Amino acid sequence: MHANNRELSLTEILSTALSGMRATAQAASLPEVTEEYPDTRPALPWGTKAQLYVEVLDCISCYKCAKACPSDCIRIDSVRAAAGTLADTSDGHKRTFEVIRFDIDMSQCCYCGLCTGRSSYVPAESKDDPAALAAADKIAACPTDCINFYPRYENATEDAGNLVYHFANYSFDEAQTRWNLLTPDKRRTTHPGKPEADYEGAPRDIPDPRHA
Amino acid sequence: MSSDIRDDWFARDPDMLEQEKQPDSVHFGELPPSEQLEEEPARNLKASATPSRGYRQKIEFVTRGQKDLGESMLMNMGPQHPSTHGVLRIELVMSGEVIQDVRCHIGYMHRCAEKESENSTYIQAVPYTDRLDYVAPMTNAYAYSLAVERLMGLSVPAEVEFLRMAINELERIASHLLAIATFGIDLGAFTPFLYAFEARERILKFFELLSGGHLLYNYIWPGGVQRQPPSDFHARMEELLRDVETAMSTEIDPVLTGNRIFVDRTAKIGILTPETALAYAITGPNLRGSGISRDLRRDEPCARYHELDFEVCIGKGEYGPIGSCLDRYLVRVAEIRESIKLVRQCLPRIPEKQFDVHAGLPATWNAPAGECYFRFETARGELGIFLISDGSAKPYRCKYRSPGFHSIQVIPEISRGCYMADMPAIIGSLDFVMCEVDR
Repeated sequence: MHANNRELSLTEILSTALSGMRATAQAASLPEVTEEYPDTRPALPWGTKAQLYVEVLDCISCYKCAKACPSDCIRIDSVRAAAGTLADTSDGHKRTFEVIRFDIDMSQCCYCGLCTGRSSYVPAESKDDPAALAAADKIAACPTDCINFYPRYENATEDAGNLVYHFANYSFDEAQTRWNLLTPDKRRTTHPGKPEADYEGAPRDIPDPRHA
Repeated sequence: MSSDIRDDWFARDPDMLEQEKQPDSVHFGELPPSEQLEEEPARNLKASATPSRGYRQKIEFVTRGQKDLGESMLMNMGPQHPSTHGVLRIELVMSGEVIQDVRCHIGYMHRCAEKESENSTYIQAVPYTDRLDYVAPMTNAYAYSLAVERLMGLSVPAEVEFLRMAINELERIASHLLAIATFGIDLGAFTPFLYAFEARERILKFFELLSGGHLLYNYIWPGGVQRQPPSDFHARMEELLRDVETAMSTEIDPVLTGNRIFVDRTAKIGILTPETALAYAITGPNLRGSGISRDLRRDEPCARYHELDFEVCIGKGEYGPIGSCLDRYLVRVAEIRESIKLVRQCLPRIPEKQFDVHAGLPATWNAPAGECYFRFETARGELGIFLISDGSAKPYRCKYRSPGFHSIQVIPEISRGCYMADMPAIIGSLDFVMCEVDR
């Protein structure tokens, strides 16, 4: 069962060595495939699952994204707004609840894309094609296309708490004050029974990756 | 520890001194008196099925009919050894440089994949199946999707099925490229590793364009796929296949298979006889390497594999006994060629213009009550998926039968009597992924 220690003949040694060297020589003439990362930053294709971004003024608080999420990383709190005070979404949906807190813990996110809107379900070249978008609307979780992935990939931080992104236009204190002022029938949350979590020190605003 | 230092410590900490006076006190690194091992008379045991219990168990002297090779030594390989392909701890009972016995310890990567799948809806479990075998995620998601389709009675349009099959075969190529690359690097061949990774990277880049993920895709869904393929899908696919074919025939194959030293090094070690392979329920390229022609794509055709023409590659034992490490490697190399042929057959059956990839998706994810076992030929062998549905949107029970789990069990059988230096080659030739083994 032990490997045999038979000696190779000179022709075998030469042919073996030469075939390897020929392959190496052929590969030397090919173009480089590696890239010097910090100097050259690749532009990832449209729809790359890298960074979730929420256009919070388009959110109608339907919570379908939070229900679709396998790792339960989306938390939304919203309160009923007075009639006529909220503008419609950009694609004409009525809004009755205002989102005071839309937090996504990107350290829990498994980058599956089940929460996203229709834009993430079409290839790059048809992202402005209404027919393709309408077809993708059938399966997209978000009805108003307000939550989507963007190819912004340098998201590393020194603190895991910084990976909790806040997308609502309220600070934590403002949201808590507003929440406590209202009666339970006027407020909704994806996480009932978990009224708050300590997200101090997390960034409130992130740059809009669509314009980066 | 000298006694005066010890007294000094106790003088500073009266509680510790108090504890010391108690008759049953236990200190770090010492067993309580009741559990201390008794001295057993030396025995010359035959093969023992007793599982190892860590440091407490004495090393049994395993002779197994061989000549007594002298004093044996216990060696640990892993769990962080680079050639264990994940986190696998291997205990080797060595006699000099010859392996007498092997015990494999698994469980370092256990992540409750089955339980997570039971707590998720059928569509939410697809990202978890990607993480079962992260080297070939598309194949796992495809197997799971086919199982759910069988459970729910979904029918998928032919063009979507061919699209998924083409992607699945491409993923098989990517997985086999990694397998032969790491097999080479375990034996010290670094250059083909880089060549194979370059080819694999092209496939992953294509998948990234298709699905948005570089390694974990969540692309193949029960009833369809996640996104429309881009309009230049066919052109890109053709270019990709050409690149992989060129890389195989000019770079990877001549440097490894054409290398007489590599062939001599691997042709006579790790012999997995057909009988042993069948006894241990080995599947996939490892079984075919032992000369048994068994491929679920041909024997139990699912999806639309019966419409395609391909050969089942088996090991022939040209350079040594059949079922050696080299045979398993050669089967993988031949399967890459077969998969390229399969993708080429799928491509004309996928329409060039945009088509509805979501046509087969169900309206709700509620499966009818019942159960279903489905097995699929992945790049590593037979992946079995057992689903029990109670009529809700989540499976009542989900069980994965992973091929790597069985490959690991055969390591002791095929590595007894080999040299220590052959162990990385044997492990590399079996090509398991620990994430899938531990699930």
